[in-house]
Amino acid sequence: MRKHSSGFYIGIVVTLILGFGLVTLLALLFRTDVGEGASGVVKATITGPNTATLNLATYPDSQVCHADAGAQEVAWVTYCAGDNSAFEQIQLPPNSLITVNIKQYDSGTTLVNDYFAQVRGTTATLDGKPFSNISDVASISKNTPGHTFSADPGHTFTIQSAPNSTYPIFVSVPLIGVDSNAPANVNINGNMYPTPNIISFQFRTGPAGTVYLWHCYDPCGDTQYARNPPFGFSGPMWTLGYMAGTIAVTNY
Amino acid sequence: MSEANIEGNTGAPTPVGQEPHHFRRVMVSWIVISVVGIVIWLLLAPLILPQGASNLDTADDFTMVVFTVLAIPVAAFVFVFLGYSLIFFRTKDRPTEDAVPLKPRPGIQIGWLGITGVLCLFLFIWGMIAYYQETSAAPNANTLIVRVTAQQWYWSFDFPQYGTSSQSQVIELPVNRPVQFIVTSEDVLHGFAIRAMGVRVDANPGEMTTTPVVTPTVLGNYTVNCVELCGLLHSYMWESVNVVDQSSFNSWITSQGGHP
Amino acid sequence: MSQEAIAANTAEVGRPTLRQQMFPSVISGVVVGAIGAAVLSIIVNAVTQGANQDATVAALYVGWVFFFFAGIGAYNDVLKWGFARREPTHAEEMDLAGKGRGLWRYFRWTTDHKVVGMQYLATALFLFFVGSMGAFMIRLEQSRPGAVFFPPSTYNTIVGMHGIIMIVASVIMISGPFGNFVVPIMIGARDMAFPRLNALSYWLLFVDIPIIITTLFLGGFQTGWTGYAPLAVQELTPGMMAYCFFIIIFAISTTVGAMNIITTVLVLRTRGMTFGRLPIMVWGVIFSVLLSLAAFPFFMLSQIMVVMDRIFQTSFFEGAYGGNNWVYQHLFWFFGHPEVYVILLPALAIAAEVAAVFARKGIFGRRMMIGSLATISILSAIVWGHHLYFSGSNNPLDAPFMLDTELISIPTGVFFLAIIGTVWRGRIWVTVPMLFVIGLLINFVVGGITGIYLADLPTDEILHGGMFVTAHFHYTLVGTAVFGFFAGVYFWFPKMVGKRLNPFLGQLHFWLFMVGFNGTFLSLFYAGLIGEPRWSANVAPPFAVPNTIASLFAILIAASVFVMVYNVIITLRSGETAVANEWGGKTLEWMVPTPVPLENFVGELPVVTSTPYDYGTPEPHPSDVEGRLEEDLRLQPQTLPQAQAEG
Repeated sequence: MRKHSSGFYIGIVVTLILGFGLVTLLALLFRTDVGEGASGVVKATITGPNTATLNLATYPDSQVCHADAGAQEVAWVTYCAGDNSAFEQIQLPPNSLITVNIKQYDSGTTLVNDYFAQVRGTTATLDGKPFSNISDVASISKNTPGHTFSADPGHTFTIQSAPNSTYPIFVSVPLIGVDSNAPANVNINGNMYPTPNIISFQFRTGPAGTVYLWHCYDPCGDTQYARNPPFGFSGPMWTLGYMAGTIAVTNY
Repeated sequence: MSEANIEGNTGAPTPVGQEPHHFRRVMVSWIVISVVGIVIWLLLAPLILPQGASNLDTADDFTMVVFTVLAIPVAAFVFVFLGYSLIFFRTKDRPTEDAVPLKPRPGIQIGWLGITGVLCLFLFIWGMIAYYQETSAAPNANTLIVRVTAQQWYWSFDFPQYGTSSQSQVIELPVNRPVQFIVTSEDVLHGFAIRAMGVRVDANPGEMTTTPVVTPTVLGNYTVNCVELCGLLHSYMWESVNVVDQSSFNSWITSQGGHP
Repeated sequence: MSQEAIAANTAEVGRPTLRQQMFPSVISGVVVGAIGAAVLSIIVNAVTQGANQDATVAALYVGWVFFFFAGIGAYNDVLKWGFARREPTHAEEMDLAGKGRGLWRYFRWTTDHKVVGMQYLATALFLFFVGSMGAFMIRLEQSRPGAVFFPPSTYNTIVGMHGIIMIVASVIMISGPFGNFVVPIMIGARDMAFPRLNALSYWLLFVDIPIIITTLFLGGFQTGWTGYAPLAVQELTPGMMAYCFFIIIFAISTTVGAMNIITTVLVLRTRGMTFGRLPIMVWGVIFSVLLSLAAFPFFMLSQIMVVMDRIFQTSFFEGAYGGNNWVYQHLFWFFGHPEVYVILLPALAIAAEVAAVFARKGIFGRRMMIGSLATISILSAIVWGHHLYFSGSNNPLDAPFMLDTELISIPTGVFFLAIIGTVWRGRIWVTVPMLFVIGLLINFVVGGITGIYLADLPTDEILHGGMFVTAHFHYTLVGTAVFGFFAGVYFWFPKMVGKRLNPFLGQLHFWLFMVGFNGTFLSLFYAGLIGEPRWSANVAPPFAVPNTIASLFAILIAASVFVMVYNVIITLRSGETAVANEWGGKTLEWMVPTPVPLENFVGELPVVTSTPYDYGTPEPHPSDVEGRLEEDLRLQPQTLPQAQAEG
């Protein structure tokens, strides 16, 4: 083999360093985003050695917790944390009974898949009254005159596991919609919404280090894209921080 | 004459009787390596291939073993000829003479076409027979029917014969009982696949597609995965499948709200 | 002829000023294109009142393409032809071909096929670099279980971009640089049949690249490189439109290029260059582009239909409104399968070409090999259904597709016979191009055999949609076709650029690539065998180990890419000058000086009297050689310095 100058070999090393540096730079750039999604973490409030409470809200638009997003995103339905901040990831303490309270401000839309009409993996209450299916809502309405519910859910809150999970969790609760004629008489940060429905349920977490997903399975929102086949699980439905996100069971 | 081709660029030809029998050497090496390779494969195959959990998967695994047994000599042929040529016909640097062209022998080319043709036809016929054996069974009264609805990004399962659906990401199937999956999608294409049971079919919106009738044969835990890219959480779509005995299955059905 | 006409005809074009160099050039093209894109998209946005983002984005791309070509001066010739009263003079044609333009000719609308070939080479290398960055991102994400590094939507976009950029790069990687630079010289022509269309085919590719980059700013696309509807139609972000237009423009570029290559080879072969004497490289390129002419319109059509579904709410692919998603799959794969042979055939041809030169022996069974290339082309058009075995459509369609797919392995086997017979008892000089050919052969064995598993129904039943498929097509597209491309690069670089690529770096490139590539994809074969699905942003725990091993080996692939970049840079800066016939080849491109003169052959075109594979025959052999060679066209390696002096 012909002898090369030491500069030649140094050049190889420098090129490799620069090349891997470029790869690292690109990885960091891509990590931050390709244009969509909100970030943020909401942690369940620890109320005891093995209990915690998580408060969330669903809104018909993003004025409350994504007010600084683009013109299109601001019109999207979204989940917000109980304190009206944006979040993509929920953190829960391990080995705990989690109580979830969701304030549902949005009106109802018919489910595409009836599977999600049923409360699964838990028992749930609507404004304090137990229900296990959206068909139960009719009887609840009669018992509380003056406060009507939509026959359809506004959203679902569905927790599912990642493949081969060591501690699988599956919880799905249809979040009953507000009647579409209800007056908008609640002021949240200057935005007017109808009185919310409060849906609550509980479930248990397992060991720390497990990861889950939360996702809504009731497509709604923008009528042009979401309600027509292929059922627009697009827009907020596939944007982390709006209608989809992650759950991390971790110590904090 | 062929010595002149060999490394060293020596001008002096070797006496004809001492010329190495390249072709003979290569053929012997090829046979030895093929046999060794096939033996190694047959020993390793049970370790490499995941254990088949259904009649279909076991049959497919067997096909893979047979095809690999055929493939080993084919691959070895190329590798041995190539390796031998690189060792014995290589020049150290730029050659000063051309090589002598091989005498054209139509027999080699026709024989090659013939052998590869026969191999191809064998693979095709084996595949056809194997596949139609596996998929010809029609569902009967004993077949468990499972309806699968795919949607971004969740599999939901209905058991219409029992009037219930899955309550979580776990379903159970009774062992040794034929089952057929009828699959559809609510939105885009998904791919319904249970690797261990050797079934897969796409879930199409607006269509019902079916897997062949498959019989789980081994108790255990397996997974359903989505094998057709369907958007954001495609790689999170899964379902756990427990293959259990019939009585455990009945209890499970009852626990899900059905009537066994 | 009048005095003015005579004067015009004989006048030389004067030495261009900097302003004349820059306008029109790629600079003016980009500026005018950007302005046109902005104007058109603003107009459409106003007309649709911002409600149809897809339409706005489509207008952006259409404006960009049409105005870029105005800015680079592509329409000038068309207008001159329409309104002028005379044909362009030879001097004007030479100016258009870049005479006297120096390095600027690579940045202008230049018709010289050698310039276009160099432009394609640079672009192919650039696209491979960008695509490989995507690959390293993918391997990074898959190195550990869970969606650790990127959000799944970002990962899906990266996978899609990696896929489509690499597909485009591999379609053009051989026909572009070598089909344009080398093939016309190989057949004894002075240029291609349609020099202006040649420039068009390249600049269409150039204008296409920013289009796919814009997807990163438009939300990306979630469908992967196959762009399956209905997912492609579902997307709310307009990033999907970037993918659709990328394909539509690219299809036009390849069609124009294909027409040009076919016409050139049919019509411009020099005297004595019968079809029987064509180098096998030319055959490989011809079959490849013929196949692409048949296939690419379907790709283009499928994307136009997706665009229409998105912008105009048609329902080609939406079941609920009367469409069907299987239509998309058939359209796509009817293109998709021939497309991989478009990629593969020229690489196989290069392997044969290079093997003959470095074994100093004619291609064994040359005519059968040409026949096998033709048979592969024909068969590849009727096997697309093997991608649809498990799409849910009716079973009886599976059998004929399985038969055809198995049959393709017969002509593929003939290729192996040809190469083995060529190197057997040859005088093998292991140079860097030869190393890549050897690597190609080894990888193609694995790729071809694993294709059998996927072609056969019972085994595809456990492998479809999993990483086994991914590993298989990487073995054929990368391990075979890209290795063939690199063999071509190291082989023809001395002729195209006039400098020798450093052989030490070339060997380092090869070994890093070979070891890294095999390690990565053998691990992924195993991952697919045990059931890992494709497109896994989240690698599930059972598949973690093979994925981590694959990612570690991918580091070697990355290193090989950077080594090659270094090699090209230092060679361009201070590489050794190459001689005219660097390797002792016998095809016509080695008979012309380096650098190649503007019109390829000084003086008269050569007359050909035999194939370029008549190595080692002092006597004409009845079945291989058709005649005695003219001495000054078939030089022995020892006489190279003499050939150089003769110019």
